[in-house]
Parts: sequence; C-alpha cells; structure tokens
Amino acid sequence: MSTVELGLRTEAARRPTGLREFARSFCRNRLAVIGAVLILFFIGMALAAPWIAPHSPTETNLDRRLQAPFWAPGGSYDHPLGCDHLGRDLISRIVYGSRVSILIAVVVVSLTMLIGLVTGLLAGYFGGLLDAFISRIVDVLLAFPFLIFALAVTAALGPGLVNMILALVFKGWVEFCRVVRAETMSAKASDYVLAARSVGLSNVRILVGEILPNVVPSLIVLGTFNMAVVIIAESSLSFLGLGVQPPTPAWGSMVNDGRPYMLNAWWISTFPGVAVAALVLSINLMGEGLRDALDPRLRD
Amino acid sequence: MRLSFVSYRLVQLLPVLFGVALLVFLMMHITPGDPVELMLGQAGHATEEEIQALRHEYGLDRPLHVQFVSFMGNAMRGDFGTSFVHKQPVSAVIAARLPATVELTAFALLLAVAIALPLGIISAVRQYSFVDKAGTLGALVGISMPGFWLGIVLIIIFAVKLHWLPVSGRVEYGVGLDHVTGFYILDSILTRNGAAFWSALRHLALPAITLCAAMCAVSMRMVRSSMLEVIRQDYILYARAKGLPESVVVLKHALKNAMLPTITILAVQTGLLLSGNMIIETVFSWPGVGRLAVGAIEARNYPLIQAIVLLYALVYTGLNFGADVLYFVLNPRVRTR
Amino acid sequence: MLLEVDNLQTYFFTAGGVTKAVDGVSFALDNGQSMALVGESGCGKSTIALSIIGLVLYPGKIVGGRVLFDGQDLTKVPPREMRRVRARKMGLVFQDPQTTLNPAFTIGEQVAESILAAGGTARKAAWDRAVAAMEEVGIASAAERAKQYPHEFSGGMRQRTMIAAAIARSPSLFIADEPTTALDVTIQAQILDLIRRERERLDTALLLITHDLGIVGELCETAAVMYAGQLVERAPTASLLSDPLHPYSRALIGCVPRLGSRAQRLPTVGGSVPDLANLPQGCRFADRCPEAMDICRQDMPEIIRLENGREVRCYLHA
Repeated sequence: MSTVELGLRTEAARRPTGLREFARSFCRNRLAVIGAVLILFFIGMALAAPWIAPHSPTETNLDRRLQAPFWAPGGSYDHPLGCDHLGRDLISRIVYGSRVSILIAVVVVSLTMLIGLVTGLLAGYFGGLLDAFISRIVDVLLAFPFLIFALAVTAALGPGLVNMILALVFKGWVEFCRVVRAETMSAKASDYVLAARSVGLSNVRILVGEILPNVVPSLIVLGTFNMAVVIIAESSLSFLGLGVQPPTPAWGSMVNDGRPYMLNAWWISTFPGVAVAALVLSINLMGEGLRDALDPRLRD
Repeated sequence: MRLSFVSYRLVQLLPVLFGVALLVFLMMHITPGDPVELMLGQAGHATEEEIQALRHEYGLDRPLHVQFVSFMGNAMRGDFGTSFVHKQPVSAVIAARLPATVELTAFALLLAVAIALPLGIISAVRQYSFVDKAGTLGALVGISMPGFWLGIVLIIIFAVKLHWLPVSGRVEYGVGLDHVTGFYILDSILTRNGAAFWSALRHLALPAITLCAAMCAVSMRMVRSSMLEVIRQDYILYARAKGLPESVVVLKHALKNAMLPTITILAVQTGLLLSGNMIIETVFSWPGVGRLAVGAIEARNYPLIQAIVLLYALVYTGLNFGADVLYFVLNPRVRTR
Repeated sequence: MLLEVDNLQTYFFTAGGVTKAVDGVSFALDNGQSMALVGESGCGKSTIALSIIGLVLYPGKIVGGRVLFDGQDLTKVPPREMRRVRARKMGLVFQDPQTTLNPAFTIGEQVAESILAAGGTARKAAWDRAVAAMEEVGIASAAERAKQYPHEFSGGMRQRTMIAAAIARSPSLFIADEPTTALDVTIQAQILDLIRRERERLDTALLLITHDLGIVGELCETAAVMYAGQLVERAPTASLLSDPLHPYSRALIGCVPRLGSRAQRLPTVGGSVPDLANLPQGCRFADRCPEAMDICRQDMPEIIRLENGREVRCYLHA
C-alpha cells in the first residue's frame, strides 16, 4: 500500500472466550435455557422412573382397556393419560420409555463421538494412506441415508436393542469423523501448530494439546444435534418394530401400538409421540444455544 | 474444462459405488439364520433335500465371492433375483411401486419449496421480526417432530375427527382410473377423470404434508441463513445505493446469489426425503417402495431388501453428485474459466 | 446550496452501549464544489456518507440533525422518494470494487441497471448508454467487455465500472468513499485523474471520503478533518495542508513523510482513539493533544469560525 498509514493505533477487537463468557452468553438465550431445563427434567424422569411412575409399565389389566385420559368420559385421575389396548397405564409407560430413549441416545452418541473423533484426528493429521482408507470408508457409509442403513442392518442382524445400537453407531460415526477431519486439517496448517512442531513437540502432544481443544466446540454442538437425530431414529425404528422389543416400553413402539385404535383411542399414539417431540425439541433448542454461545461467528 | 470436471467426479464415484454394493451384499449374507430355512419354515416342514434344492436354485451354496461376482454381474443388467415372497423378479416388484413413491416425493418436494422459499426470504429480509422468530421456532418444532407421529396425529385430526381427508391409500376404492404413467395425478389429468383427480389429490395431501414437514423446516432455515449472508454483502448496499427498489434488490440481486448454496443443499435434503418415505408410506399405507421395504424386512426377503437398499444408496449418491455438478455449473465464477 | 448537513447525529445502538459514530457534524457543499472528509478508520466519515444517502443499517439510526439536499430534508423523506433521489441525483463510488459488484451479473447489466433506475430510458437504450459510459471511463472494447462478469475484470477496471455507473446518469453529487484505497499505486493515479476529469466535464459536486491525505490535494477545493465523530477543522485544502490549525490535523499532516526529509523515524501520535460508546466530557482529542489545557478536558469546544472562512474546534484559536 502506498498510502501512508497515519501513525495512530486503534483498539484491537475483543472476542469472548472462556467458560464464564460462554455461560453468560448461553444463559442470555431464553429458549436454550428452557431446552436445557426440559432435558434435565427428562433425565430426572428417566432416573427416577421407578419412584415417580404411578403404576407398573408392564402390568396389564383388561378391565381398563382403552381407558380415556382423565378429562374425557370414562377417565380417571388414577390413570391421567389413559390406558392402552392392554390396560397398561400410559403415563407410567411414557416415564419408563424415557429410559430407553435417553439410554440409547447417550450410548450411541458417546460411541460415535469417540470413534469419529479418533478417526477424524488420525485421518486429518497424518493424511496419506490412512486418510485415504478412512475417507473411502466414510464415503461409502455416507452414501446411505441414515434410516435405510439402520433398516438394512436390523434386517441382517434381527431386531433388538443391541442390534439397533450397533446399526446407529456403525452409521453415525462418519458424521463426526468428517467434521473432525476437516477441522484437524485446517488446524494442522495453522500457525500455532506450526510453532508447536518447530519446537519439537511430539505428534501426540500436538494432537491432544493443540488441535483437540479447537475441535471440541464443534464436536459438542454436533453431538448435541446428533442426540436429537438418534432419538428420532430410535423411535422410528421402534415404531417399525425393529428396535426395542416388547414388553419393554419404548415411545416409538407405543405409537405403533396405538395405530389400530386411532379411531377410538387416539391417546395411545398421541402422548408418547408428544414425549419424543418434546425431548427432541429441547435438545435442539439447547443445541442452538450452545452453538451460538460457543462460536458467535456461526450465528446469523 | 467443465466436462472433464464432471467426468473426474464420476470416476471418483466408482470406488464408492463398488463399496456400497459390497457392503449391501455383505450385510445380507452375514445374517444369522438361513434365509432358505426361514422361507421354507413358514410353509411347514421341509426335507433336507428340498432345502438343498432351493439353496442351489438361489445359488446360496456357492462360495461368497462367487456369489458376489454374479450378484454384481446381474445387478448391472438390472437383474436382482427373485423375491422370496412375491415369487416375481425383484426389479418388476420394485418397478410396480416406484411411481407411487416418486409421486409422493415429488409432491412433498414441491410443497416444501413452495413454503420454505418465501418464508426463508421474508425471515431474512425482516430479521428479528415476528415472522422471523415464529418461523425459526416453527422450523425447530418441525424438525423435532418424528414423521411417524406427525402422520398419525394428522390422520387423527383430519381423517378421524374432521372427516375431511381419507386415512390411507392412494385413491378411493371404486374410483376407476386408467393407468398411463402410474402417476395418479398425471393420469387423471390425462384421462380427464375429474373424480379420480380429486380423490388422488385428497389422498396425497396428508402423506405429502407429513413428508415435507422436516424438509421444509430445514430448507427454510437454509434459505434464511443463505439470504442473511448475502444481504450483508457490499454489493447489496451498492444496489440499494443505486436507487433500486427494495424488491429488486432482494429478489434479483440477493436471491440469485443465495440460491446457489441453497439448491445444492436442497438436492441433498431430497435424499433424506427417501428415508422419511419408508415411515410415511407405512403410516398411510401408501403402496410405494418404502412400504415394500418395511414389509421385506419383516419377511426376511433378502433379494428384495438388497435391491431396495442398493437403489436408495444409488439415488442418494446420484443426488449428491448432481448437487456438486449443479453448483459447479451454476457458479459464474467458475463457468467462464 | 446543493447539500447542507446540519448537526447530523447518527448513533449505533448495540448490546454494548450507544456508539456515537456521527455526533453533531455540519457542513455545506454547493453545486460543482468539491470537499474531502478526512480521518482515520472509525472516525465516522463513512457513516456520514451512508447517512446522506439514507442507508444507515440496523443497529444504526439517524437520531438528530438534517440533511438538506436540493431543497429536501433527506432524513424525513419517504423511502420511495429517497430512492428516486439516489437514482437520479447521486452517483456513488465505493471502496472495494471486488465486493461491491454483484458476482452473479455481468458488468454491463449492473451499469445499465443504474441507468434504468433513474427512469426514463428503455432497456436497449440503457445498455447502449452503459457501454458508452464504460468507453468514457477508458474501458477498451467496452461492447464486448460489458458482457463479462466482475471476476474477469481487474481491480482498476472494476473501479472504472463503478465510476461509469455513477456518471452515466449525470448526477449532481458524487460521493466517493475511499475510491482508491483498494487499488495499486499506478492505478490509483489513473482513477484519480478519471474522477477529476469527469467531475469537471459534468460539473458535479464531489464529496470525497478518505484517510489518504495524498489524494485530497488533487481532487478537492475544501477539506474537513474528522475525529471521533466530530468535525475538528475545515479549510481550503491548500491552507489546511500548509498551515493546519487543529493539533490533530497538525499531527496528521506531520505524519506524512516528505521526500527529501532526513528524519530517521516517522512521527506518530501517541495514545488511541476514544471508545465511541464511552466518550470523554471535554474535547475528544485532549488525551493525546500535546497542547491540551484544563478547559479542554472539562468542556467540549464549539466550532469557531475564523475570519478567513476556516473553521476549527479548538480552544487554542478561540
């Protein structure tokens, strides 16, 4: 530049960093806080199920078949949300059903995050043959829509809780791997990594000490949204009868149970689905808040 | 240059497609439990000879890699074997149900775009307004509702309680319709069958709405964020400074730039519509490929499952590929190099 | 009087406070005159330009003062009228031609667009006029080049395009915001020549906004210095450059290295610009002024009009 810079200094721009800034920024987002509170509520519900559920979720009572919720004719406060076609209390089943959904979500997302993190770091940092190999696998797995893959695996291995988790994990890690790999590659080219390498730090130290901390924020955000996806996938699979098997109560299969009774007992299908929607919505709300708080640049 | 880019990407695609086929094949053949025994088991007791004969007929007694090679060879020719349940060629079974799925998907797509586009634009132009906030929240709710549940709730409200719309199927029983293309809406227009047209439309409504909900939500946010990014650009300020009316600034200058990334994302989203298809078709008893797939899984109908999964993967990959190419072709910065 | 800015106040309302980007600026520009607004980044000069053309974006807002242009108060006219004024009577040249031209449309379309916006021209005629304008600003083979896209033009050519779009409708006022900052040295000279030539040809008024003192002398009869949202000095350019009155102006002009001087180090001004959301009570330059007095820190000095027509905001000249 030919123009002479006027010799005056200006204030450097500040960016929020650190835990306190993050917490403050997050709490300012009311919807996100509501989401977080709701999630805690669901977790609490899942943990305290045996104590807060008014009845047993599996006990059948044909006298109470298709009993309506308490505000409709034939309903009672004893079974506030009514009973299903086998006379099982709906609210207890919903409470217990949260255990399944939350357990599966936590297990699946933890595993996929771990696998995706490790593979992404390795592929992005070391490149070469390792990267090519991992990337090809990722490409192949990415060619399947999520549910199709899960269905294929369940078809192959049979329905059930463990198989469903396997299916979800086997497909899910590629999302994380892809993101982590991209971030690792860009971090690898950055100045601070260059500095670390020139000082002679070992690769492991660099990966864990320099690159990992920069990858973590996006990983957290992605993991949160992934939980929502997993819960919907799990309930969809349960709905199709391919997930958790009866008599274990799962929200998805409960909705399916109610299908023949849409005409006269709409509550059997409706309320479990409300639970799914509520939990997923709160996760999404919190995820949005996390994303906005962790990286203001990503915000609109 | 453009052509070589496209062919380059195509070549890159081949190992992926191979891997996909391999994976699908392996998944179907490592299952515990013998499919043939399962099949015959349903028909009653079978002798060992009968089992062996059937296995030989299906080629299941050959080593795995030989089976794979013949599988690939046949697949290239469109032959995916015979469906265990229908006793017909798999390709015919799928082809018969393809129009139903395509019609449903196309409608859902149209609906999603028709709603998401204007809503996204308005949200971006009137950021922080009521429409924007409501739209964003609505989009979040939209992606949070599982498809199977939304479908059932809509059925309960509109079919059971209000009796406005039918519960299931593609067209009312008893309404005659000549099949020309297999797309009922199109057929009814072509044969000037008014009753069939309305019937088909009414049956299409709820499934299409359910299917489009999630995609609409995602697309709307995509359009919005794309527009927001574009609106912040200097050339928008300049366009305003030239004295152009706001509508021109938004609809001409901003939109044209925002559409590029949006279209490519939409192409990918359409692939996700495929997943939703299975659930929605099951809920509404829509006679399409999705419901076929679910039934096939329950019946352990491996040749059919194999073909359908492969088909879905191919279409999804094709859509992604098309999106890449589209982006490249439409981008003026690259076009004129 | 073509343009009269009267005590203009434009503030930005953010979560961190109220930033007073333009705080009581007044000046006038008559037909055919040229004035430069000089200052460093962040002093508010670009905001003044945006305020005049009515494109201050959220969270900014004009909160006080008037902008009288050709008899109308632009701060009060309805949007449609404002657009008409922009289209017919103003020509704008912005800083970075790379980002200011829409990459999705051809150059010709964008120049023709500005002609069409002024109204009264048919499409074909607008295109022809656009090509003619491009030729006028020195773009060779304009007819073919008009069909190309911005990324196919060099920086200098893009800036010429913007000037073409500006002159094509013979406006009464040019506003040029850092027109040469993003260009190479050699191109800068050409663009400056072009601006001067066109201005003289069309007898248009020019408001030049820049931080580069070097180009002020070339183009403008009058120059005004801005600091922290306020005008601190205004004078004929020659007088300002040879005899600056305000300590800030003196520092600025002193910072420009002269050929042949034997100074070892370039002089600088210590300290930094005050936070526009947290302004001091008195003179905003007092902290860094080598000649600051007590009264400077207590009371904000008003603009003082001197006999020779110059204006200064400084107690030293009271």
